[in-house]
Amino acid sequence: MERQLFEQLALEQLDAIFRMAMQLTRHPDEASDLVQETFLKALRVSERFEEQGGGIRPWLFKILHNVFYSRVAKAKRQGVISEDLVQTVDDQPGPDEPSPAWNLASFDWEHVDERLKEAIEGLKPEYRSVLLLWGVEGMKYREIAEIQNVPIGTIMSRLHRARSILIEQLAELAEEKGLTGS
Amino acid sequence: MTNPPSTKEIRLYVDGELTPEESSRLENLIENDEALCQRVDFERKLKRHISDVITRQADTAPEELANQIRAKLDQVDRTIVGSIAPQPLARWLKGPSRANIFAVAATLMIVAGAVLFGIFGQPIDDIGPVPDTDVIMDSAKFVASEHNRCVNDEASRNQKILFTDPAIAYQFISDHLETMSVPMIDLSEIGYEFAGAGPCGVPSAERSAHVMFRKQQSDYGMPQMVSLFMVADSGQFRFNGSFGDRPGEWADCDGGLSSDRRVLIATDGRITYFLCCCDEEDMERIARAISFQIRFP
Repeated sequence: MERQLFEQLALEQLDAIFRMAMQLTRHPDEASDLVQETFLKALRVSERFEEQGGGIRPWLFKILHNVFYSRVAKAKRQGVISEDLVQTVDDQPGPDEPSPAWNLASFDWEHVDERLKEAIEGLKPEYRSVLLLWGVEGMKYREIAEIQNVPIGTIMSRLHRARSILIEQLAELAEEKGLTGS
Repeated sequence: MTNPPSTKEIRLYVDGELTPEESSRLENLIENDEALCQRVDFERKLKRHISDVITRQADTAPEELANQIRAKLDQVDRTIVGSIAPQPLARWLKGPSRANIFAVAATLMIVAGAVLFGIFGQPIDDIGPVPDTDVIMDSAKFVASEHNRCVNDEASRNQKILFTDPAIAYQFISDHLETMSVPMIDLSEIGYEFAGAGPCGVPSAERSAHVMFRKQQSDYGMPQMVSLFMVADSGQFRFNGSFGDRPGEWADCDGGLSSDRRVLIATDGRITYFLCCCDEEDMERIARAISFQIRFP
């Protein structure tokens, strides 16, 4: 791909790539730094880029993902990793938990977003990034698996688990608002 | 499809991941079931709100970021052009009469290096072991990638997993690893059946094997598999406290530079085990089950 064309196509995706970098790092400066490195790496290998449907965006996501986890691996080796990156979510939803124990029809979605925001921020980076690719980018499981370099079954279980953890948080909200029981 | 549909099935439907036939069956159920209709509606709203929240967190990149990137890309261009442009020094270095000078200089440097090492160098026995983490990380990266490949591509899996009879497979592994008999791992209590085993090429190991298990009732209609890699341990990992070097203790190691996959590692002193799992929720239970059956010393 020619240099000018690469710059044009890649910068068209800047907002989406930055959004993903924010999900991974949660810090604007780190996200900007990550995006810059991603674009540089992409330029170096742009000759190898092959259009496989979906344009350049999935390819940039994949490079971003690799750059981020390279940094995580390097930080682990140097023992300087932030707790944010290695935290684990301990609450394990059951294999197929029942539907929420509140009245779904009367659930007040007006008050949900702030709690959801906190809950999403508490998830591990791989859960946050999978939520973004699925919810915002509207990607299919197979496309997400390709970007994250894991089997599709792992994407399915991550998405399921991430949603279940978020619902746990909403359940607390529902209890506070007196919506439990049906 | 279960009746009533499970939460996982509802989510696959909302995500557009069911087949047209499965979707149609679920839609028929929804038409006649108010509670199910509410559950589907709830999942759709949840998805929309998650999307809204994430988008609002960082809708657009900072304005200056595009300019910073352009500047860096231009810098790369200049570097490339600079390296291509013929320079006086480059021309001199490429000159035909310089070869002898280089040869003499290289010889002098080798001699000087040997003398300095003789004076100041350590005996080889005093030099500590190379850091083990790179060997472990490289192996973890390899096994994560192999697990991925074998799960995603049935043909690759069949080519690699040569032995599907557990008794024959474990006999093969024991022979291949040149160790005492390897215990047969049974994960059926946690819902996984033996899928097969075969030789593997884990880096830094002369002999290694790959054992796969398949989830008996996959919730997603896709293969959900476990990979257990057994690597003959000849001290190449040099466990030093960074990883699970106490026998029977599983530890996290990085799944490699290009994957966020979780890989667990443990050793019994003869064999080092690497564990990968599609459904990460099951990972701890699987590790515990394996530990129990191997009976680490």
